[in-house]
Amino acid sequence: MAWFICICRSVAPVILFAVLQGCATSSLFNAYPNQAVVFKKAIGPAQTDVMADKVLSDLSEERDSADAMLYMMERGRVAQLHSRFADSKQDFQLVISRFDEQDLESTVKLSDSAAQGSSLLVNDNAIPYKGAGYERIFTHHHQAFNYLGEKDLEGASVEFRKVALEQRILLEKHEQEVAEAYDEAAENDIDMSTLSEAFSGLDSVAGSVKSSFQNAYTFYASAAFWEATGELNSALVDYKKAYEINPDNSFIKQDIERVAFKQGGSSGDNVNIAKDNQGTIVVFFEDGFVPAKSEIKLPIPTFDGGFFSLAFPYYDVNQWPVSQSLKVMDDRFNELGRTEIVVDVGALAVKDLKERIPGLIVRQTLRAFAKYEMQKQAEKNGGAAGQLMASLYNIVSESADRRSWLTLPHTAQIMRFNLDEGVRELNFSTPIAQTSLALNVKPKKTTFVRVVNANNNLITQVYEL
Amino acid sequence: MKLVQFFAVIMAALILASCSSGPKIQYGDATAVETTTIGFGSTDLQSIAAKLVDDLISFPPIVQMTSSRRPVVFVDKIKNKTTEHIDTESITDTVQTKLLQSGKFRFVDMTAVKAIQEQMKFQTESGMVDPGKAAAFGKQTGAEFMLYGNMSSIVKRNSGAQDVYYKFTLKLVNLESGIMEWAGEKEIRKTGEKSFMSL
Repeated sequence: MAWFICICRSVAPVILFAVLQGCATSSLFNAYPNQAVVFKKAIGPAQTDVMADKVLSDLSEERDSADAMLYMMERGRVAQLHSRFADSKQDFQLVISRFDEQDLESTVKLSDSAAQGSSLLVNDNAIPYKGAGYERIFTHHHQAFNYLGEKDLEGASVEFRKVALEQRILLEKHEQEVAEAYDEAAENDIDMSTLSEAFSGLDSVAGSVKSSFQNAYTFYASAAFWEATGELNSALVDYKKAYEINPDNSFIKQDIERVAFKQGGSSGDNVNIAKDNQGTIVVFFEDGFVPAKSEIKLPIPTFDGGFFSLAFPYYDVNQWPVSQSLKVMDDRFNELGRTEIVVDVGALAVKDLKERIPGLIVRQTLRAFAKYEMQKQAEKNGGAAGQLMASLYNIVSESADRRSWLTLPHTAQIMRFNLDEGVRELNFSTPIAQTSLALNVKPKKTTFVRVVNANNNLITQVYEL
Repeated sequence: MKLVQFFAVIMAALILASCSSGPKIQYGDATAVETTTIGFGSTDLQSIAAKLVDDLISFPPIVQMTSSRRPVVFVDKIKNKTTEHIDTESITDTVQTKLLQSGKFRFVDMTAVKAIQEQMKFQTESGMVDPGKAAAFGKQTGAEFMLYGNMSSIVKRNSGAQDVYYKFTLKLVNLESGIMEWAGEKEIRKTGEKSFMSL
């Protein structure tokens, strides 16, 4: 019986810890991607409204949980794609205020230390979700579209300015953070090189983006917004930033030439400028869902020469989905053009994980020591049965932190064209889905048409500027 | 032994219950300095309004002009060019109230035009108001000046500190001549630093 008491004693504090620092870390024993399946299903055309209601109200209950940021990002996007802008605005507001709080949070936060402490005995899911840089950018991006949906152009302009600020700050900040993680590894005598090799497969995907947060889609949306509202200087700056990340994109090159021309520069051959009786349509196509993290088990060497297996989050880049472009046609099915990719959100996520690896390795190694120590204690006090229990606990509790905003699209694409005024029908199609939209084109006005491919259904939203 | 355990449970329950008292609510000084977050707050609003109103009513040409009459002013929307959702209408409301109370200016309220129109329509068209006592159309006074401006900000942040700089500009333009009679500016700088430890 002694071994049983011993196990109870060692496991009880762990459970107590987990309970104390927020019962709602529901990803602790149920991998987050499994939970997110439902959220993704809730995005779809009108007939799934009942389901969306259910998902939105379920997610609403997570508002006070430790992972509130994550759940509110998901909820905000689901609500926005159902055109419930006020709801969605509230959700993203919570996320934004949490991000803002983090900026001036103290260096050592005791409640964080408690979470970190309990994560040493359970897994990284015990640490409250704090969001990634690219998710912060997307939060503001979505919030801007909420204001556009409510026809509040000033509100949208504030968000677009804020997102530009965040993109700049993150760029300055991230290099410093990566360097700090390496310093911490050196302090704890952890050899990064052997473990980093396991992640080298990620490079092929991560290499396709400039950094883990420089988001050309957001730059492009702000640029198109500034151009439509007459702030040509800001438009030019943002088009150029989008172009820097996507030098092969034919639309952005044209956009830069057009804005330069509007500012009094020389006229290029084809600057895609609207005639007096034409309106401009900017299509934002968001394809699929960003891939979820999978899990790999890596052996961590223990101090007495053995190995201890721990779970790491990983992106399986060999099974990376291929993104399709959207074909846009007029009412007679004449092709107006195809969208071009400006950002691969999957690649942003991979790059973000890659940048987290140094910190992750440090934490996992400390966890390996802690769990190994617990197992040895159990063996000493409880014999074979104790060791069995401890091993079982380790297997059950050892799961990788697979949390990330999963209703985000896999890729985001853009295109731009001008149409004569009046009601025009537009047809959109991908190889497996199609939809149409009647649009009231107003002369000299810009309309944002957002097309989202979710579960092979095309959802359209119109934002008039 | 059982008794000890029993009392321990009672004590624990009492301690827990005493923790869960309701929220604490108090009245505070509306003009006290507020530094809850680094964002735009009531202190900023009050200092902007106070500075600009003082500037405007002590500007010599304005002092001279308002010594014999009270010009009519129309307030346009203030453009928010910051990275925060700031209710700029509330700033102009405060400025407008202070100016009105100084006794030097009068205002036309464009935000109430629709309501005024409806009331006038009711007075003249409903048949319920004595025509002799109804307010007549076409007798309102046109504004002589327009007050407008914008608010911008520069935000800088690194891992340890944050710095926000706000600039609020207000201008007074003569609607007929188009001449800018006055312009005032108020700058605010706020900094926030991380503490080392917190709960």
